[in-house]
Amino acid sequence: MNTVLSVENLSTYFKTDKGIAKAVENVSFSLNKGEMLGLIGESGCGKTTVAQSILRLIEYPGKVVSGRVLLNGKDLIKASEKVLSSLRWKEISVIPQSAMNALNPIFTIGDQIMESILLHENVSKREALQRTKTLLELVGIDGERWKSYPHEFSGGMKQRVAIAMALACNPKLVISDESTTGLDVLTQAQVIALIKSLQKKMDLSVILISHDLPMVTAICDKIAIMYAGNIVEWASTEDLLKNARHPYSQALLNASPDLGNPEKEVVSIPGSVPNLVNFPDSCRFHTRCPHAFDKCRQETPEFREIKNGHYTACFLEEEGNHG
Amino acid sequence: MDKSTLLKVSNLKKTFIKKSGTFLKRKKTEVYAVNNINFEVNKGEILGIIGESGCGKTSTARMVMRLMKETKGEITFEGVNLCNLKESETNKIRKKMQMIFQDPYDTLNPGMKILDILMEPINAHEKGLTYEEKYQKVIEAIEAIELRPAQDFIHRFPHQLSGGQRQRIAIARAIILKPSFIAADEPTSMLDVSVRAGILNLLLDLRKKMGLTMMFITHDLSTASYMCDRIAVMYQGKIVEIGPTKKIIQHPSHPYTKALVAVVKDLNHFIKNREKLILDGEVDSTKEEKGCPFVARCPHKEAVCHTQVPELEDVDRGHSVSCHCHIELLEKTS
Ligand SMILES: Nc1ncnc2c1ncn2[C@@H]1O[C@H](COP(=O)(O)OP(=O)(O)O)[C@@H](O)[C@H]1O
Ligand SMILES: Nc1ncnc2c1ncn2[C@@H]1O[C@H](COP(=O)(O)OP(=O)(O)O)[C@@H](O)[C@H]1O
Ligand code: SF4
Ligand code: SF4
Ligand SMILES: [Mg+2]
Ligand SMILES: [Mg+2]
Repeated sequence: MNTVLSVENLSTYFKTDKGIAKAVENVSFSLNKGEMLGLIGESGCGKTTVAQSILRLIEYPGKVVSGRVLLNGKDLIKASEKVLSSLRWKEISVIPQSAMNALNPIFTIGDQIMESILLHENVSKREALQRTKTLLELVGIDGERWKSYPHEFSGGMKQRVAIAMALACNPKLVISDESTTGLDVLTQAQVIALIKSLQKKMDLSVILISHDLPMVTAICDKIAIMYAGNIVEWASTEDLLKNARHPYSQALLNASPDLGNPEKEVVSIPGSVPNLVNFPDSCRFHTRCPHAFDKCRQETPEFREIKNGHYTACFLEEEGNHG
Repeated sequence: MDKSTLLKVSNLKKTFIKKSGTFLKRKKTEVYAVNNINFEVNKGEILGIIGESGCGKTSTARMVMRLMKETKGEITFEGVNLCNLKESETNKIRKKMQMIFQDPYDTLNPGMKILDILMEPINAHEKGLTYEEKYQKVIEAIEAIELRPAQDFIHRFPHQLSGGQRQRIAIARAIILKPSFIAADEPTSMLDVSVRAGILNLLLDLRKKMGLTMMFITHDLSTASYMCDRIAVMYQGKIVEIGPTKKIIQHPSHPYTKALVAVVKDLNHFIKNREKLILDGEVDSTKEEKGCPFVARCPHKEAVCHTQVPELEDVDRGHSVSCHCHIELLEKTS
């Protein structure tokens, strides 16, 4: 199999004054070449922490406490800073949520894209400029606008520039962390369309982090659903839509109105997300789960494969517990 | 005015002065936040207002609620023109019209207990009641928004509630005086997906039980179609299409609405056909456009679109569109 990235039992904790916040706990998934994976969950569930752990960008008071992140077989968690900086941009890069985090207001966008090329690759300035123009064209911006400053662009265009920047050194894997959140619906759809077409054209592997389930199910090959620091279900989009197994996934699918299905009655999930500080052994969804039973409150369900390529962590999947 | 019309908005306009440019070359431009809009809300219905951020939804609601003065136009509520009222008369009307805001964090005073927050409107408008009667009203309002037992909540402060519970308290405050009209401005957009449905269903339930009329503002077409009997689509301060929800979703006629519906109904279809649905270019909203506000992004534009503002015209009973080319468009797509 063509596995590009494999995350195994990743746990990342934050030290807080109230105790240890287990922001990401025992997360496992993998990504094949040319595949688009949607990482989805409500705010605070740990999506950005997973992305930053993969890139080794977690800083104090946070720490990756266990697990492996294999990029083409190489463990990034153990890699030296030198190896890491050779991999960032060239193998793996991020499109951040806010383009303003990627762009410096006092330099032209061309200078910024060129700088990241020159920093990571052994090319002449002229070549770097040529590539910058090509990259801008690739994301639908006139190449001659490389002399513009970020403030001369609208929100959607800045987001395109951030995408061009993430692609500057031909990475194989791109992580988009809510890179379209905050844009209006049509601009968002245009940016998503751009990411999708680039993925196909360049055979990229993409992790698309989002809280927008309908959008993710429309364009991703596979979906991983996070709840309170865990991936609770990971499956092909088709399997997830037809046969979601985890009670949280099922509830999430029932929570939003669907334009194509006017008869659908939306249902909210009672209660709220638990505090992750000093979280005890148990299923993290048990306080809101309509199927919770004693075992759920005392033990942590194992994340395991229940069908070819379909993984979930729920005690209902064990022999004799089907209700 | 029709007997069934509760609210009528005519030729409503709001302009802001926007300063831009450098220190030496200061430029003042007029921004048309709301640009000459007309609509009615019938008794008992929910009218949705949708459109992207900055298109004028909140300004419209704030003018209707008399929280902002209009630049021009008329707002008639229960047959009374609100725009000419004295302050004391406006206060009386406020009892009948209430607003629910986007961010419950901002709108509930953090230093006040829930009991006091809910007492405030009663103290302002129903001075004659005894304390017991007022207290009873508070308890009833909390029960109506499904926080039970109500006594458990009245002594809490807003920060001791979850986001969803806080928005419910904001709704309790809006309904406590038994208004006939509510404007809800993106009431779920700050909430987690998993609790949004509860707020939507609560509003639908209250509408039924209290016979409320509503204006429901959202940028999400799916939510609008779940909540609303009719939908008005706004773009850059104008209503570009208005009609029954079913018509808007099944037969969108304005190019902007068509693109919106395509994205939400079938994103893959949109991705494959996007050149036919919307132009890639970005809009410069500061540029004065003499013609159609959508012209920069419209794939169907013709010469006339650059020079003439299209008027809102009926295409079917109760379904109106503002586009020079909608007839041809309808023929092309059906
Ligand atoms: N620097 C930090 N210090 C303490 N806790 C943090 C820090 N960063 C993130 N967290 C915690 O980690 C959890 C996951 O956050 P995040 O990964 O940002 O979620 P998401 O991206 O899904 O919204 C949150 O509950 C948050 O409180
Ligand atoms: N108080 C204000 N001062 C200046 N401009 C404003 C003010 N309120 C709104 N605007 C401008 O008016 C336009 C419409 O805003 P708004 O009604 O808030 O839109 P929406 O609610 O649809 O996002 C925007 O361009 C906004 O920047
Ligand atoms: S393990 Fe128990 S509480 Fe957790 S999702 Fe499954 S049934 Fe619900
Ligand atoms: S009037 Fe012209 S530019 Fe405006 S929406 Fe219609 S076709 Fe497009
Ligand atoms: Mg995040
Ligand atoms: Mg608004």
